[in-house]
Amino acid sequence: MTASSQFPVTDDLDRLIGDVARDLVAGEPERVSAASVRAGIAASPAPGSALPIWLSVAAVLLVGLFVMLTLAPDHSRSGAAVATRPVPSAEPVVSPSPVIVTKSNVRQEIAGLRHAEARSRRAATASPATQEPYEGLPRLIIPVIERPEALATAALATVALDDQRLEISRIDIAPLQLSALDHEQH
Amino acid sequence: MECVTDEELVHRAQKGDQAAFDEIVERHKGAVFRAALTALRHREDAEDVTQETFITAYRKLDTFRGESQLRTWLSRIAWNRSMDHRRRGRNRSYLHLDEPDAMELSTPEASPERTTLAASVHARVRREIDRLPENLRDTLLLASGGEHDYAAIALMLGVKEGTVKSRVFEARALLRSTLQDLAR
Repeated sequence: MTASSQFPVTDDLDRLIGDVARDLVAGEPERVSAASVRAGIAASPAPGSALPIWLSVAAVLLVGLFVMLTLAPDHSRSGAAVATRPVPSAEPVVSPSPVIVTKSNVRQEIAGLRHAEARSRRAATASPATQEPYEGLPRLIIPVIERPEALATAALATVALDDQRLEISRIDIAPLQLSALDHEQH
Repeated sequence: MECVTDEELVHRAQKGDQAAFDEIVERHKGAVFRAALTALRHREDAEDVTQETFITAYRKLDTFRGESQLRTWLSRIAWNRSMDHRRRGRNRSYLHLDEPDAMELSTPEASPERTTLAASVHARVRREIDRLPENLRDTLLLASGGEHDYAAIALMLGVKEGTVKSRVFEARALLRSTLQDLAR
């Protein structure tokens, strides 16, 4: 005696499958009612009501980030400074031998400065041949600025011309100490 | 409220009529629960999802434009929430639905032997349904519930109506082949 021979429902397998499938998902909720839903709505805040909280949190984070970026030391710049800083040596640094400024020296210096000034002027007003490819583009105006060295040299020249001879005494520079360097880095 | 249409209830609820929303809950909680139960196969989880669904629906009622039936719209919310539960593994087990005992399947005229046999056949069919691939099982159970037509099921699952039909056909074909010995 097998199950199939004893059970007439199995004659219609599709109907059996349908019945069982329906039974699987049949039923009514026992706990859910209009009152429970109303209570649930009252208990849980609407998602929109959390928006001001999130906005204030975001604002605080932004301010914190800004302060961090502003106050944090610029590592890339300090790294470069350390890299280019000369290695301190124990030997005292002695300036080169005294510089003698004579009238001829001053004249040569002034002539050199004039040449340099003329060169920079020529560069500012480039030749038409080189301008051609940039025709139509806005021009970059480079004003001729007197170099600070020129002023210094002119001052020296004045002194030299008055006294004929100017001697700049030897300058001794104390060696840079490591302890001073550390203090500077901090 | 019995004779008021869903559209009218929604209209009233959108204007803040709490009684109208209560009626929506009472009218559709069964369908929503069964949609969740189909996905989760666990009654307590399905009840939780039903509750969450109506809370969500209350908050999103303004977005309901009547493009689908209210029951379909609610069932779709329930389905999506159930899928979230499923993904998070929050439903405890697919197979822990109460198995019908022999007494449930008995009829006054049926002998005890016959009733026991019916229970074992039902249990066997349940097992085979549980073994179906998830997408086929979901679609078959939604279609068998009689709550939604193929178009509504397609909307809930986010697939084409033709896909729903083919899945139901494939699920039934698979079950017929595995349960062939019962039909002999």
